[in-house]
Amino acid sequence: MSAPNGSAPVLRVDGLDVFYGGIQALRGVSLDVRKGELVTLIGCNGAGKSTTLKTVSGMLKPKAGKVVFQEQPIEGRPSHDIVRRGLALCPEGRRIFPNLTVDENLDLGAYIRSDRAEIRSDRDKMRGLFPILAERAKQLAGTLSGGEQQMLAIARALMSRPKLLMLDEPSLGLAPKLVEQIFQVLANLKREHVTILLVEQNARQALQVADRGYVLETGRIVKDGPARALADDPDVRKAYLGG
Amino acid sequence: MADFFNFLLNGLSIGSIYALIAVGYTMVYGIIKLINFAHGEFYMFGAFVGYTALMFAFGVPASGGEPGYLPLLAAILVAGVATAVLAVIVERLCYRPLRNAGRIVALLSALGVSLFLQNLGQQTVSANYRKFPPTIADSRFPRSEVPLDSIQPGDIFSRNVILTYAVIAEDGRPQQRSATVALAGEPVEAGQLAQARALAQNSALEAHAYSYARVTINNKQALIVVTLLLVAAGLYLLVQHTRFGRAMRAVSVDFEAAQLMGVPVDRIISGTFFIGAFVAGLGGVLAGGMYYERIDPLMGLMPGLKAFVAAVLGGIGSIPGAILGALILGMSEKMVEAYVSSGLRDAFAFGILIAVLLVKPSGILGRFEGEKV
Ligand SMILES: Nc1ncnc2c1ncn2[C@@H]1O[C@H](COP(=O)(O)OP(=O)(O)O)[C@@H](O)[C@H]1O
Ligand SMILES: [Mg+2]
Repeated sequence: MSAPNGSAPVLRVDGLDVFYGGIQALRGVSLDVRKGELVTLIGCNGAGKSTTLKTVSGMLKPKAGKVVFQEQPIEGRPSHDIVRRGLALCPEGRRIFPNLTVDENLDLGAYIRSDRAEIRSDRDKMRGLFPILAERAKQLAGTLSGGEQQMLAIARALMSRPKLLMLDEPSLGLAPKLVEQIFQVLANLKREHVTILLVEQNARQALQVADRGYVLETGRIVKDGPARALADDPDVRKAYLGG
Repeated sequence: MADFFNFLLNGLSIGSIYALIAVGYTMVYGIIKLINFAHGEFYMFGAFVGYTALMFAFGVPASGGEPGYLPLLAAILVAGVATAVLAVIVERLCYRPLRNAGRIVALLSALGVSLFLQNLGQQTVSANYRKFPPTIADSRFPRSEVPLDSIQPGDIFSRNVILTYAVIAEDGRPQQRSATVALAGEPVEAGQLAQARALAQNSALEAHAYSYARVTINNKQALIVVTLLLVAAGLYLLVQHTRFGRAMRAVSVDFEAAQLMGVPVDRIISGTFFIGAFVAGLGGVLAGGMYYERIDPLMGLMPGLKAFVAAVLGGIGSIPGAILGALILGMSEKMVEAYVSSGLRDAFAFGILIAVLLVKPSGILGRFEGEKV
């Protein structure tokens, strides 16, 4: 085992083949994430990043391959069951509930929990992390700006106290200043030892914040390694970092 | 003017019946975007369960008269639960397997379920009307009792004075009747008074003479309106202030995202059918049973369609909208019946449907979402 801390990975994905009808979107994708790591999966639009996360979170069923979370096989399980095991996905496009208030969105994030007092204290913690969520607590989430909605989506995912947080392009469509803010948040979460699998098209910033990375091209993992090494890799530089 | 308010109260109770059906329509639409055409049959089913319960379990007292509120309440609860269970089964067998097959397919399945339940009813309990057993005694109020002994020939009352008495009917049970003792503003006739006293003396149950206010509501109508208020308050609390309600609202806008939060979407959908059908089932007992006292396997058809119109009028998917739409429909229908033509009543209701769809398809309180792609 090549793990730096020697323990089994929190998440191990092994040889995933995923199809949309007759079209194959993933070809033998394998990756793993260890406790406390921030791992990034980068690739162009259409490479299969979202497909990978959706398969891990149970929204898609793989045709072949394994998903092992905390040493339990979870491929093919319904997503609501996978969340209960401690795997949260903050989906592409935020997908907050616009007809619910900000607080209600956070409560839904904690749907699988029943420890009311702890939920309340976690909510306060989220408000500390994202002050806007306190200001807009009773407002409908649909009235928030794109950046605010992204903060809410991340906070909502954290409310389940995940053992692994997966984020699908959290910086997508945000103004540069907000992108900075999002990556700042990710760096903070990492410092708090939250285990994260981050999908990004914004390879430069993703590799800056991550420990390790994987590069996905048309459904295949073509490279992987420490984030710093990937950032220095000439092919990666050329394809994803603008030379 | 008094007539107008009497019609309005009458329309309010009819609207409340529509509302009890419309909330289930709108809840199911809200969560899976299905127009459940079988919902009217849930109302019918509830009425039949209530009938069975009253006939065989909480039976009519041997002493005659009406069983009263408690047996009625028991029948309502049994019917509500039985109907809810039926709806959960229907969803599981006929709608869930089609959830990804497109809305038209699911709609056709709903039509099929509706026809199936109607025909099943006609085959098993016959297509004929049957009389619903007595539930609670009829009365109107506000009213004040006028002791018969105190009335003298020649007295003038400002309101009609009506005697309520009972005779033994063919089936050997007492049946409620009424007779006029005095007309408003006219002197009491000696003959009429003597006759009333004789009726009261021979009455099978205790007889009373009352003078009624100009604007009155029937106790059964009032019970329907009160039930609607309780249902509305209950649904409000459920939807806005419980974990289940939050999950319901989340599933209704984005069931995938809800699933990612750990919400068991299938169970929430089952629960929604359960609640909507529970309300429709109890509506069947109250309206078709207690109020109209006539039930048959097709009794859900027209109220179901009217409730659908009401839900569209209020904004389909919105619970307050469905209630508002139903009350508006019930009252305006009654006005058309009273002041225009009773033959035009149903045409008017469906005219509303067409007008809403043409002018404002999102209804009064609905948000227009467009087709989901
Ligand atoms: N629902 C779908 N139906 C059919 N093809 C899809 C669907 N979603 C994604 N694809 C295809 O699968 C491939 C991978 O998509 P995706 O995982 O969304 O890529 P990424 O997230 O990396 O941009 C693309 O070719 C895309 O067109
Ligand atoms: Mg994507």
